[in-house]
Amino acid sequence: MNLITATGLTKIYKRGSEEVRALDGVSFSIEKGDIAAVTGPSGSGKTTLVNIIGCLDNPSSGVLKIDGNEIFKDGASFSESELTKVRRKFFGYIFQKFFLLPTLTVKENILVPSVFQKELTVTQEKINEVLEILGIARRKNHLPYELSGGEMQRVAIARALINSPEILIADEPTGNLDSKRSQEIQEILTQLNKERKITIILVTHNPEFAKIGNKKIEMKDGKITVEN
Amino acid sequence: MNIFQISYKNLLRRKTRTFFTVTGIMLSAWVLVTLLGFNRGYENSLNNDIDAMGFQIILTAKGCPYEAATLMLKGGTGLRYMPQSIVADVDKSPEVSKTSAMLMHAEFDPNKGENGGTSIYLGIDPQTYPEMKPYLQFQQGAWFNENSQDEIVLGFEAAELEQREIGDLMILPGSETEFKVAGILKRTGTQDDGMIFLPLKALQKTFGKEGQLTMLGIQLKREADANLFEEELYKLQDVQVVSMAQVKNTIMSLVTSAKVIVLSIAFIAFLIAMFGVLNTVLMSVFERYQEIGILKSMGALPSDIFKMILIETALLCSLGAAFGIIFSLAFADASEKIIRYFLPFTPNGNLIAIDLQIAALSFAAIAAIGIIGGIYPSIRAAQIRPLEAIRAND
Ligand SMILES: Nc1ncnc2c1ncn2[C@@H]1O[C@H](COP(=O)(O)OP(=O)(O)OP(=O)(O)O)[C@@H](O)[C@H]1O
Ligand SMILES: [Mg+2]
Repeated sequence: MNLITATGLTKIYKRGSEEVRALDGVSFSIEKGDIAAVTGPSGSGKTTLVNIIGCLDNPSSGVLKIDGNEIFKDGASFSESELTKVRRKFFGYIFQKFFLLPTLTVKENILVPSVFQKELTVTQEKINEVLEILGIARRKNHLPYELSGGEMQRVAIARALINSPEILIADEPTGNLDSKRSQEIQEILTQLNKERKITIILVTHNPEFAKIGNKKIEMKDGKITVEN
Repeated sequence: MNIFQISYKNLLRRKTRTFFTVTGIMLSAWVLVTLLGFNRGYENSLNNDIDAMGFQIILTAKGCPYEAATLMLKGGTGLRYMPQSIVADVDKSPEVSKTSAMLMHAEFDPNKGENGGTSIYLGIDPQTYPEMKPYLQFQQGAWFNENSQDEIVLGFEAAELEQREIGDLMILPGSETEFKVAGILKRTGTQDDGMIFLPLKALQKTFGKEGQLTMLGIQLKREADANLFEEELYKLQDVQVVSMAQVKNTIMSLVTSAKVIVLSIAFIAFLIAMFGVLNTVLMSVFERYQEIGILKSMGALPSDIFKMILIETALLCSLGAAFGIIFSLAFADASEKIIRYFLPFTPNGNLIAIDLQIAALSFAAIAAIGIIGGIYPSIRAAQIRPLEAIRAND
């Protein structure tokens, strides 16, 4: 069953009088349990695409369905509050930068989503489980500046997992890491997908990393050139 | 974990900045609390002083100066008199509780000081006057007794000038009668200090003013309507009515103008503190642009972010206000000394009266103003979109 269906997604940015078609009528579908690897040259629209899938941004036109719900109807745009509700329900995000709150400990950082998502009750077991999966249990009372880059990204992943999302959006999650740490993150993502059936949408420049995807989306100039 | 904890930890992130912002708020809170305390304390003290005068209304002959200082300057001229019969008229009124008749007399005394000087005498009724002025305290001796006609009481400075002790004999200028010093008053800081008190009759006789008065102190009954009674007094011929309420109003209006100036300064301090808060919080919002965007991607609603920033502001302001109130209490004595130094007339008692109500009021006012300063930054923060934040400078 298709978890995500996009039809004719278009995103137009206006720079002065000039229009940039960052996404140009993109259509595709992603099934539950897929790892979709999005690749393509810089500026081809990868980030734009995953931001729209992850409801961090409105498309200019096109339709997006998630789990059968029509999130973006053609031309209609959503308010921040409405988008927030969809984000809470379906998504976890990790980025190239880790975006940890520097004043909070590892454990507190992981709990941040639960501060805002009232419907989310996080048990001590859940916290321990997430810390275990990512191998940062020993670090739970440390502050971010005391961690290595690889550890910081694991904390960011743990934070993205705390609301048990169905879909994990990972935009170049290893962009700031050396090859050994990248390898570890790849393994973690693969394992999450296998064991927990989390659908992952992965943007990467690294062809090796892209291989973990069972589905490949290649982009160029805002269009999908290869989908399989 | 809750929003409050996130806010609180954010403030600790920039300790120096937080410290200075809190200090700014503290200073304006300090000024405000001290000022409100002064407002209350000064009026209370003034009321106490006026109550201590014993009478609410003084009746004098029309055009008669009632200030000893004026008498001194004029060398004793300018006094006018009312007939003693007026006492009976006033006593008849049902509003009156007590009256005390007085005769003031100024006379050049060639033996006073090096080159002589004007002495001021106050003839008083030994039966009523001491009762009306219970706050007058004696350094030595006491009031002359009711029937005595040859005793006097000296004000503190008068005794010092004349170098008299209790039991000394004195002769008033232009008279043969000897008076014995029965008592010397403690310093009061009022015109009583320079006064020489005599039994009314003795003074009238000595200076040939039999049957004449300069002043009549009137104490009203508690339930009496002072305004109505004043109106009534004006019907009497050739008298002038000075009510203590008027005196108080005159003094209060002088003080009010001073207060307005200080209040404006406090208001400016307030505005500065408010913009300080606005600036600090706005800066911290801009610094955390990405962080706030990320919070939104993690499910924070605009209203959550608004709340978070406003809590930070409220924390800053309450901390500042609390310290300001503590400081104003701790330094109330010092502030009082400064005020006494600068104000021309200050009553006795506590000039700065800070109570719970004032503290609570100031706390609320400062918290409110500070929070108003935090609203704009909070709105700005609430509007940050996760996308812009994630894309910023990458
Ligand atoms: N806010 C914006 N305003 C104008 N143009 C934008 C904006 N955001 C993105 N673009 C443009 O849209 C196009 C697609 O950008 P996008 O970030 O999606 O590319 P990308 O494939 O993720 O590139 P990279 O691999 O470098 O991350 C680019 O030409 C970019 O300059
Ligand atoms: Mg990108």
